[in-house]
Amino acid sequence: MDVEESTINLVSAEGDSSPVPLSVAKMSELVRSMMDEEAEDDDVKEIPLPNVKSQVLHKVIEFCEHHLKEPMTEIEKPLKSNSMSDVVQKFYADFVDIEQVLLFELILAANYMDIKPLLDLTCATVASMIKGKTPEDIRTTFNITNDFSPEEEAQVREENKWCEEA
Amino acid sequence: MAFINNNIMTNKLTTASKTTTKNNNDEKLASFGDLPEELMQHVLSYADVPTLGACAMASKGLSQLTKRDAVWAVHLKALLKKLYDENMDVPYMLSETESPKSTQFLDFLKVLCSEMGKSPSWDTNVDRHFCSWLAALDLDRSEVLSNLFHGLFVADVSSSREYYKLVGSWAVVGYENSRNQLGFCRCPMCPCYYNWDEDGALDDLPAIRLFRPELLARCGGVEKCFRTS
Repeated sequence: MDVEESTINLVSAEGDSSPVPLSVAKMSELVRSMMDEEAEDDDVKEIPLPNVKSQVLHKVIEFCEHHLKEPMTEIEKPLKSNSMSDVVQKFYADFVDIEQVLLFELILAANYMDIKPLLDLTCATVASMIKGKTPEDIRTTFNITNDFSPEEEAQVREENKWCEEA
Repeated sequence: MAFINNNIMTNKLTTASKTTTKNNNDEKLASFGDLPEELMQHVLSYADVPTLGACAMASKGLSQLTKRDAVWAVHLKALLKKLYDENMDVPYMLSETESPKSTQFLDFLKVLCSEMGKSPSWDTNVDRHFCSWLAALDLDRSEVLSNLFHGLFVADVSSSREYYKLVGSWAVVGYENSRNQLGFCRCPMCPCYYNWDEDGALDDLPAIRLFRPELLARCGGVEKCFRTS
């Protein structure tokens, strides 16, 4: 059997096991390094991912599987649009059209598993949600508390006025 | 990109630890503010300048994050590229014996004052006129003169955000609004920008070196960074 066609089980925080092709699993630098460390052990069949919930792991696998078929275009900084469909291919724009909680979980999983394109996509998506918004909009969108006193708020507004014109 | 990756890699333990805690408590991330700072910083690296300004006004925590050099690296790089690729010139002269307070430089200060809503008085004496502008801009005279005499610009820039604000953005404003009127339309940046490795640390950015005297030596000296005539 071709090595690339072998599979390995990724085990979620809940203990659910997901068989994935090695080429998919190795998009994660964490998985790759764990497999390299265990290279002498031919019986490595499972990689435990105790920080990744099953729901999130399924999304990660979905991303990696598609990325191998259609690599995501690099996301330009700063974002030119607040619509991800203007920034990446349709699959990826649809992929991150999800609830905020899951999006943040994906960011953590991408960072933990060290999958750079997924981390870039998810972080850019959050950035697209704040692009062009007012401070009040940003607080509302992300449930952020305004901890400035009225005096501090006036000062910080003055300090950052120039940004609006940049 | 490497410095971003390094940050994330460096802080991975922190992130994993935080994630574990949340998973163990069966909590959910409900807010952008629940992300580790390094990841919020990566999010902000995709934001444009007006959005960074809005984030800075949203909360104290976000305000601090928006001031980090890593967040501004992308904007500085774009600014430097714009300035160089459009071949803006630095017409004022520099020498060991002459301070570059030419009329062009005074015009540049005038643009700064105008943009900041300041209205200093005019004086036919160049030195007094010069000091008037500096006072209006709330800049320390002795430090400015000292820096100018050594080929450095006016501000003691402690972060790339401040650099962008004090010099870069004004240079672009001056260039775009007054390119036919002003001789000085660009901040005096080091031509060896083209040799800057974008994977390098921000302090290696040549333009920053010019404004940080302790790093100037590494840049090869003022003479190599400024056209003298």
